[in-house]
Amino acid sequence: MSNHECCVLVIDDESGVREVIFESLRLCGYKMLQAENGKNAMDLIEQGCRPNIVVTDLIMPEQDGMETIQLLRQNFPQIKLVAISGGGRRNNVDFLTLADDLGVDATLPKPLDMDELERIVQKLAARAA
Amino acid sequence: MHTLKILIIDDNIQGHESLRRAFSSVNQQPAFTLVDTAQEGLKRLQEQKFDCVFLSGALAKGGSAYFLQEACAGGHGLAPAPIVMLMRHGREQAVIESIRCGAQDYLVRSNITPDTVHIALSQAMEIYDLKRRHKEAQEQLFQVQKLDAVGQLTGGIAHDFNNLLTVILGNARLLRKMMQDSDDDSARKLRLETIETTARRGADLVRRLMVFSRQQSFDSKIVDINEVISQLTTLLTHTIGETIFIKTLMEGDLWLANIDVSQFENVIVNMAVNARDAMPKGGKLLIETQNVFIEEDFKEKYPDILPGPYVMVAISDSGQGMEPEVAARIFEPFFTTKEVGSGTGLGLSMAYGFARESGGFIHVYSERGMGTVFRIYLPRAKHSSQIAPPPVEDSRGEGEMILVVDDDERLRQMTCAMLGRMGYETCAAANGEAALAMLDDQSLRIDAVLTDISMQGGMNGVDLAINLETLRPGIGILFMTGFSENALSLSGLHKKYGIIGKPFRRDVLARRLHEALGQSARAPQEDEEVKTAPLNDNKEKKSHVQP
Repeated sequence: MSNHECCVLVIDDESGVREVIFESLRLCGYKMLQAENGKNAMDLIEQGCRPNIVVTDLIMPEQDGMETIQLLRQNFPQIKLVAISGGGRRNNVDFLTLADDLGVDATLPKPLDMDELERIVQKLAARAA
Repeated sequence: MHTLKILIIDDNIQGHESLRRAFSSVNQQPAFTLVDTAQEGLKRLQEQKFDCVFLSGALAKGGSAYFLQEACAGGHGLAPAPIVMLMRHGREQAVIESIRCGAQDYLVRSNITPDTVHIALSQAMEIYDLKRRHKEAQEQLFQVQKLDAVGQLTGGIAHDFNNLLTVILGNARLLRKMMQDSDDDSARKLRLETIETTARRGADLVRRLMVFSRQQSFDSKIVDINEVISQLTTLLTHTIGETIFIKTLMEGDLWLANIDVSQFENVIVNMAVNARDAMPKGGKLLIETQNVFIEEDFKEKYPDILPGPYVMVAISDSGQGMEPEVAARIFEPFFTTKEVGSGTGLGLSMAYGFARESGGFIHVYSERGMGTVFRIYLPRAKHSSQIAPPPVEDSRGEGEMILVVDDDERLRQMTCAMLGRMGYETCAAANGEAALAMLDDQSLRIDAVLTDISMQGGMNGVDLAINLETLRPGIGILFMTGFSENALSLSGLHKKYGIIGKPFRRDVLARRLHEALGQSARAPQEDEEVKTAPLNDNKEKKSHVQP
């Protein structure tokens, strides 16, 4: 799939982070969507938006990233998932490791290396149906 | 046996007497202090420590209630010593009232016998002790909870910081992309690069902070401690480096050790913070690593330490040092000399626990006004073939007489024994004065003096050396110190004489003594190397250590 055909949804409650990802990936040619938490993201999808790739933060108010990842994996297994996190642990396990266990396609710690994020999204876009 | 110190506050002379009689059957007579007013009792209680207070329940002018109220005021309901009330009648209400006010037990005057006194005394002391411990435990729990909160706070701050840094870095990158086509923007590009590199440094700092605040179970792996310390030094420079000059001296080819890295990092950070607190006006912090081989002799002083190869990490500060009684207790859990709220008293006991869990040990050496050095010994990882003790270097002594001056008897004996094995003859003195007396006797042949720098009471090693310049000019002098040689050289001390840090490396001691004796060294290049960079002596990866 070419960049122009590929739709990426960014979910992060921190508007600055969301905008930076949004703008960086937009400049690469992707169609972009954004949501400030998991609940808004699921609303967008229910309204008919069909992102090929979701880049989601993990700790957010209203439905957090973990729940969103589980819902998307169950209902939309074709969507590629990238988890991002600024750190934190649950039961002494790193959040990114937990996300990995839930079956995301890639994880990336914050502060984000945007070059790396672009490379990851590029690879996933190539694999997206 | 400890003599009980009893304070009796009673304006009834007969009361004094009956109590003293009841105690007379006890094996060892207590030391009694008798007063007849509450004010006098409070004064005595402030001046000295008592094992128990016997307080009349009927002091004139409501003195008994006043005493209880005042004595317990500062200690959250607990007086400085257990209190047994002396009651005229055993009326329930009066007894309850006095116990509520801070007494632990009571005696009825008409029933004062050796048995009743013994029971009341032990009961009061036991209840008092339990209450005191309970109070301490509550205070400690509060500190632990606060520590835990700080850890969680660090995690939260780090998370938010990573978001902020993502925004800064991301925007700088976008700006740079926007400017890429234009050629005359080089100055602006430079500014952007500065923003990016600074934000990346911030990211690095946050990453280290998160590693530090992470609470993990003991998870050991084989690591190069030099590498861990290099990484950590960056964090330390950021956190305590404002007023403290941090220097590291690493052994060039350090053995690997099997440790839990995050616990080790905690220990080093903790010690560095302690060092900073010991140097409120700034100072020097030296972190050294060294390969050492603990010999059998070490067992004499430290029976629970296994001989063998260890990686040693020493942390020396040039701070105010500690009194021996403080140094003796610093590894106890919750022992702290810091003000309430600034320390948990857990840091060094965790360090101790870490060293023991890793199969090693920790040792502290401190002197008032000089500084403190902590040495952590961690066993060499058993990943490679069995390590044989290094071959002992040929001794260089030729029967020269060495006077060993040290106030620690055991160390003195061990040093003499070691010198004996190296081919020297020895005599010993426990302090500067005793040494001078021996040296004053010109018929006694003494070729060199090996003296500790600071010794308890009287003349120290430096004064001894000054005296020797007139008494026995030209005699060889070599100083020993519990501090790191490198820490001392940092403070610019003792340039005139040779100096050797305890624990000794036997080969280094041989060389230094050789120099002190004024003989030409057999291998001058090697000696030079030891003098300038003793810890980077890669030719000798194994060293003998004596405490």
